[in-house]
Amino acid sequence: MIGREFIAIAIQLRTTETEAAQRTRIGRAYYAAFLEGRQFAQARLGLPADRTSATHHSVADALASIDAQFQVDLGLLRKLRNAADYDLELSPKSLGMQADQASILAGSIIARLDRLDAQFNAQPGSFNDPNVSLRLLSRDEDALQIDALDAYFPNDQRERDAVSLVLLSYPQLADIILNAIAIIGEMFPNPNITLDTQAYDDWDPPLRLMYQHPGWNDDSIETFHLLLERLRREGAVSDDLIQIYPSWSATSD
Amino acid sequence: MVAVAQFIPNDPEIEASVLAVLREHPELRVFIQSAVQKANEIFPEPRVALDAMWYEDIDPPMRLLLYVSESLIAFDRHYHSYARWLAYEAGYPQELISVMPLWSGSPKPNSA
Repeated sequence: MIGREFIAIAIQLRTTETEAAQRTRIGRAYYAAFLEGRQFAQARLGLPADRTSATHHSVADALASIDAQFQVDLGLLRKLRNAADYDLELSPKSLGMQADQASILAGSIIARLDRLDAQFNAQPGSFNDPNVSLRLLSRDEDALQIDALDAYFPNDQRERDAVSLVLLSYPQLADIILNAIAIIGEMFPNPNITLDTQAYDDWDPPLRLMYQHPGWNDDSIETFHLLLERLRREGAVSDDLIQIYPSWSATSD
Repeated sequence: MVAVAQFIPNDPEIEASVLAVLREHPELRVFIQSAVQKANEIFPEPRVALDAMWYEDIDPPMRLLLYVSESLIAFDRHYHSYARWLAYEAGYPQELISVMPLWSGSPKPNSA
């Protein structure tokens, strides 16, 4: 497995309202970022393999050679994890909020490492160029894409936070959703689109895009299948992260 | 400049621990003042506290906790601005103090 798979657990356990689950979320988020960071540091920065606890620091130090913020971020994540593992006086509510924070911080570290990795594949060594690395390491682009989805967020604050958690933990998802919305708009005039985190089974993806449009007819199901086909063809869907869910309101005619 | 003393909790044990660290590392006061000032510029009304909690031998002896209540998306954006400042401009002495911006939930709809 790879480290980032722990992010899914950190999100999935959000609705498990036991204190132990919230503490576990924080630990998994830390290890998602740490293991991805270790993989990157060993593969791209020549960090020697090391199975001692010192590797937690050597990974952060190695990543800091590209961007000092990695050290700040990993340091904070590690402290959140230690508090979650050792401080039994922390309240469940605080733990839940810190788990959300840990998940989005881990997601942002992994997204930045992915961009650096892609850049390394395209132009080895180019991330030593400060102009290149500054762009790759910025969170601004992720933030702009998530802003573009604001109109589709649910109204309820708790659910807004839940949707935000998923989008911030998987920054690549916003781009996928924006593409999907554009395609849905082409196939269904004036669809009413909303994002939520409604799931019915453990294996359901963490986010749901529901599009509603009036007018059920014999072609509706077929059109939906055509839509899914097109979304897959154009890479505008990620089955692990989002389900596209049609909803037809009462027939308009 | 803000007075560091106002961030020390009333608990006598915590107060004694924090003051002991500050006595040993008087230079921390200036860093804490600047970290709080920057936090006030970036985050909306952060609640600030100092403590001397640590979990591993390698942890720094003091923590500066910044509790922030705003939407998760806004917090993420502000956190990254603050973390960049910590990483590049603040002279962050990570061996002496952990600065911990902490998300404290979204404000309730009827609050400012």
